[in-house]
Amino acid sequence: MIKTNGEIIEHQCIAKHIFLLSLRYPESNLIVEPGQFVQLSCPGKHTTLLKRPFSVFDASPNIVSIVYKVVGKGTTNLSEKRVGDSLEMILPCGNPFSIPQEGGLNVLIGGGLGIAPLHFLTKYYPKPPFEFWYGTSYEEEWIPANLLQRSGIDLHIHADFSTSNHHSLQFPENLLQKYQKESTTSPTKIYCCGPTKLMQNVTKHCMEKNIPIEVSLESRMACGFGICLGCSFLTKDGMKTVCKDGPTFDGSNVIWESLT
Amino acid sequence: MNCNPLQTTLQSPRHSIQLKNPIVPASGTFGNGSIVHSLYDINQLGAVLTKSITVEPRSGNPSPRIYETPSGLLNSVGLENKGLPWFLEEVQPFLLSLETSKWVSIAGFTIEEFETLAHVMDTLPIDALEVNVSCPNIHANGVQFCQNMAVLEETLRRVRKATHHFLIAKIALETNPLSQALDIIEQENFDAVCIGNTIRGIAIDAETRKPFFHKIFAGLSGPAIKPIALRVVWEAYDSHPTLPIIGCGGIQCASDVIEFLAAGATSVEVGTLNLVDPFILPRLIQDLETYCCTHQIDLPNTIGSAHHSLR
Ligand SMILES: Cc1cc2nc3c(=O)[nH]c(=O)nc-3n(C[C@H](O)[C@H](O)[C@H](O)COP(=O)(O)OP(=O)(O)OC[C@H]3O[C@@H](n4cnc5c(N)ncnc54)[C@H](O)[C@@H]3O)c2cc1C
Ligand SMILES: Cc1cc2nc3c(=O)[nH]c(=O)nc-3n(C[C@H](O)[C@H](O)[C@H](O)COP(=O)(O)O)c2cc1C
Ligand code: FES
Repeated sequence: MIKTNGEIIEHQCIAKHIFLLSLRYPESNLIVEPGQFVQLSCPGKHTTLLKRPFSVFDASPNIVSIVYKVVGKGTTNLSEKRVGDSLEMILPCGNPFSIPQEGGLNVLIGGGLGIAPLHFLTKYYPKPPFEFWYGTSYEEEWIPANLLQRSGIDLHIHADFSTSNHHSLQFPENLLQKYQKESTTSPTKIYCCGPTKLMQNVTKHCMEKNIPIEVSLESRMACGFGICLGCSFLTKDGMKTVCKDGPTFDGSNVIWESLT
Repeated sequence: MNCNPLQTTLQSPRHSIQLKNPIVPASGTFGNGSIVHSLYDINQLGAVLTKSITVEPRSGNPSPRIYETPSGLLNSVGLENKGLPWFLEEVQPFLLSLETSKWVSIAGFTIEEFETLAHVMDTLPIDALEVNVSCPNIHANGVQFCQNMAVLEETLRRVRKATHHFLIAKIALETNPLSQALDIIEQENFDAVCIGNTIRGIAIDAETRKPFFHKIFAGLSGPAIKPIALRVVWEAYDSHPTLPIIGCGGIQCASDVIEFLAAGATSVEVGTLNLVDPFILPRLIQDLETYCCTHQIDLPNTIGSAHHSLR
């Protein structure tokens, strides 16, 4: 983990309120793996103190990309940054996902911006076949499919916005139901990231079917590297920090009630 | 000028401890040091201070625990820690392997718990014990130990009896009456005071119109509280000029450190800024060195200098 300055080399709006941001940093030899996140400072007209955590959407030597949604002060500041601006960041934070099994079938279930670390998983490990199930609660917040699609990925998009305002309130339940109804394969492992409700439901499904399940959790964070206990929660193995012990966890170890 | 212009001494009638420099991490914002030690050599710090340890393991408060405010941070961690036996087994060996001043923070919910912790810590070769008397006392409706003068006196007396260590009382910034609390700290032969802990605040979620934290109240820290911490240090130095003061609250740069020293602190603790920038402490040390060079001063001459300037 290092602290460095990243120069913005790409910043584009890819859906309503959603941006793709790539930063180049000088340090070589830094290994950034899927499931890890960056702590990014978000200075601007709204005063912020803490850095903000964002999952790595993509990384290559000296470059890290995130996909973020504008929800508050920091992300509003971020959306006003331009190519060439520089941001302080700490990376890589947290533990990566476990390595997907080659030859096995790895099912990815991503809700909203939960697709970010799952997308990086498919890029980092190009060989294992992936079945990717993706849904959002707002139609206009869809990440363009061409950003996610690639050979070796069987992409299923959940597009049930029959409720009012192009808004699917039940999407965590619906996405899982769609997967349960339509998937004909038997996964070796399921990776899930998205709203807590989605991860909790998918974990329940996996435990019933005896499928290994790995989730990537979110929490309000301060430090992002394990020293403040601001993101601690209860697991079957005792208290763990989302930032340092996770954010990737065996879903069956999580005590979901302690996350809300 | 001294060959080490940052060296500072916490000197009480009974004890003295010398620090390489006045920069110490505040309890609870540095883990137990080992994570940060993997980022840089923490032996360069004036001292290393652990997260407050309690007798029993505590899982702390439910999430959410963190809420950012303008220039500050509300936390509701609730003294999560794995308890005394774990500390002795897991933290102690690392702490004792360090080559700088080694400080342990203890927290209790009854006077007996403070006494037990002090007694056990007495057997360890550490350099100082910081007694977090800003905790709620469960035998006094949760009133902080430092807010009830009779309880404070009894607590400090029994802790002092239980250990020979250099003792620091860490008080809340709201401690009232401050002067009486400082009298007690001196009378009970504590060696220094840390001023201070977080300030109680609350946050309300405007969407739900409910308190943001399960425990309603949380502790405010960070740059937002610096002027208040500085004021309390000022008042403490004014009324108790020989009691060593460790200033704490909102420090984010070398000039903040200088301000605390000028107000009367002998050393400082830095909390929230470790969470913003894990490399802040070595940078503060470097910047203080530069400050001393450019201003041609030793830090000890700075202590209380803002008061002297008025005389
Ligand atoms: C490990 C991890 C990975 C994340 N990855 C991504 C990602 O890839 N893309 C993305 O857009 N967001 C991601 N987030 C969430 C992101 O960190 C928050 O949206 C961001 O911190 C909000 O900052 P803000 O200043 O704009 O919001 P604030 O002004 O601080 O708050 C506005 C609202 O944002 C929400 N919020 C604030 N902090 C968090 C948080 N830490 N987690 C969840 N919600 C929060 C709250 O609902 C709040 O009401 C991730 C969070 C974590 C912990
Ligand atoms: C997340 C967090 C955890 C803390 N835990 C403790 C603790 O265990 N014991 C203690 O005495 N103070 C604790 N504090 C208070 C700090 O040590 C410090 O007194 C306070 O944050 C003010 O300093 P700052 O403004 O530099 O952060 C904690 C503060 C924070 C932000
Ligand atoms: S955010 Fe500080 S421990 Fe996780």
